[in-house]
Amino acid sequence: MLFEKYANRMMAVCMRYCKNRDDAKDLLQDGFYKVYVNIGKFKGDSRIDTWMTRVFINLALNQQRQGRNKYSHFEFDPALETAVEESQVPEEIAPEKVLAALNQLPEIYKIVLNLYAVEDMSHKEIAKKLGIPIGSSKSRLSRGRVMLNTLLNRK
Amino acid sequence: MDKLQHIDNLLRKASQVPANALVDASDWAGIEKRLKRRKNRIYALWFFLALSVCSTSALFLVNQFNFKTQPTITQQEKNIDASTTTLDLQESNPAKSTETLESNVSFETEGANTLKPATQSNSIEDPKEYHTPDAGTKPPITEDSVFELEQTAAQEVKQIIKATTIYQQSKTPKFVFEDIFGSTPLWVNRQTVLVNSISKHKPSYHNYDKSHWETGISFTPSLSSKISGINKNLSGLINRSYDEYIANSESAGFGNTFGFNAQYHPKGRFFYSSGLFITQRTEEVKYNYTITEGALADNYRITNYFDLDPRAYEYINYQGSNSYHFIEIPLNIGYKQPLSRNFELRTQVGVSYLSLLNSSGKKGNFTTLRLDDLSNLNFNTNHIAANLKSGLYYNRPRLAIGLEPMLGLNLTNLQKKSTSAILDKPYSFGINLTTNFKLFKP
Repeated sequence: MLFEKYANRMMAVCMRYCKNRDDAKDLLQDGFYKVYVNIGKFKGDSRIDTWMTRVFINLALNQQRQGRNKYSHFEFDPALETAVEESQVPEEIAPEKVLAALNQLPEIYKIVLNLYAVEDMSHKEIAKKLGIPIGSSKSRLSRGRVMLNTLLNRK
Repeated sequence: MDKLQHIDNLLRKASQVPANALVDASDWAGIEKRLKRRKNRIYALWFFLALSVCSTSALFLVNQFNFKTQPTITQQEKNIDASTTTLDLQESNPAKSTETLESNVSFETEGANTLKPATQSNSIEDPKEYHTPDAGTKPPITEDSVFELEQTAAQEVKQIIKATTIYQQSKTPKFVFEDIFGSTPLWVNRQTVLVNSISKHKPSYHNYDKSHWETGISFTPSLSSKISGINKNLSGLINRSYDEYIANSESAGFGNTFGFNAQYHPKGRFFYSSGLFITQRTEEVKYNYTITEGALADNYRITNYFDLDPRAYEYINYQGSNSYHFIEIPLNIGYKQPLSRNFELRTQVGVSYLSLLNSSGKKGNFTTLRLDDLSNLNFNTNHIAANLKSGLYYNRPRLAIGLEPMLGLNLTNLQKKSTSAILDKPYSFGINLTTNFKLFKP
């Protein structure tokens, strides 16, 4: 069964796009509902978990694009806007801490970071997906990195 | 910024399944519930689709034997009027009209300027239906000879009609008739009028030209379900086990609607429908769970869960049908489409006022998970519902019997928003059986 096999993995995806576990669970349920409804559209030209991940990410992005921001309740910290490159954080750091820091980032940076670093998408693909110029994608990525670095250094 | 690329590596590592990303069965329960609801919606959709296909197929078959809709008696009387018929024929085919005048088949009538009203008979067997030719274009002939010619023609027409089906007649090329009669008979152009009036003498019973009332009784066996939503203001009061234990244990149930039906039919195709009904919406519940934890709650949310002592566990095992009875007063507007002499398709859409009479059964509480008796719960009394019906009616001179698939959906919530975190909008779909008596003004 798809849910039993992939639920944890998809939950990890959801948690990267949501601020807290409750929002992630909402996204998980919406995503799996969509997966089951659209399973007929899966043509088998990629791995099922890859396809499912795409479904979940698209769902999260669509919700955000439609202005509902159902899964994100960010309280923007203005100090992050002025963050500068600080000393590097150790290479090894607990994943939970990284996720917690990621969740403090403004949505626009968090999404680009996720798509670029985790989903291995190019700036061109990100720009197309988000409907933004490539330059914006690049600047959001580097700004997001700086902010995340700042946050991780603070901890 | 390249120095910060290690951030990407950290993110990739963090993207592996973290410990707090593990999901449990309750997550699946929520998805299962939504899939179940979708399945129910699809069943309803297929139900209506299948009924529509069956109705359409049946009507198509009926229409094969009644190729064209027959006009009412009054329409026939109007159409059979010689002046109208002659004008139609001459406008559509002046040459044929002249030919007809010159032939002896006697389908010819008076010229447009010297029209004489026809008698009110709608049968060709009545010789008075046909008129003498225009004195200006033909020499005067005696009344007896006209009568003879008319009778001969009528007999020939009748024979042809008996030998062919109406459908075949409509497809028969005009030259075939010209071979037989020496001209194109009127009824090739006005086939519906003449064929119906000559061969059958059967009027339709739709009464589109007369305003009338229809009253009678109506019974609708139906399947009831509900659209459930969450009251955002009180969503914190929903127990984390609610979906798994309660929501997933509630399903559609059988209900019915019974009452007095009244329809007003003004002239034309539109009509208005109302009545007084007792409407039942239901849900089947099958609870089987154990309450192992308590929930501490304030007025807006559950603040804490705590484990119960195993000796205090509550075993809930209840199966039954929850029922809500309403008085319903609908107000619908409808349109009727004739399909044959007796059958017509009536479609109605409108709204209903519903007043909740009583509720019976038991329901799991969304916070405590314990069973509440429905009679002790606060429900909204006044409701509005949307109605949609479309189906087949069989008409007799004084009777109309209808078989209509219907959908009724409450537009207002059953529960009060101030007290319930779960808000349900019940709906039902079924087949409405109606028997109406027609009442005409004397």
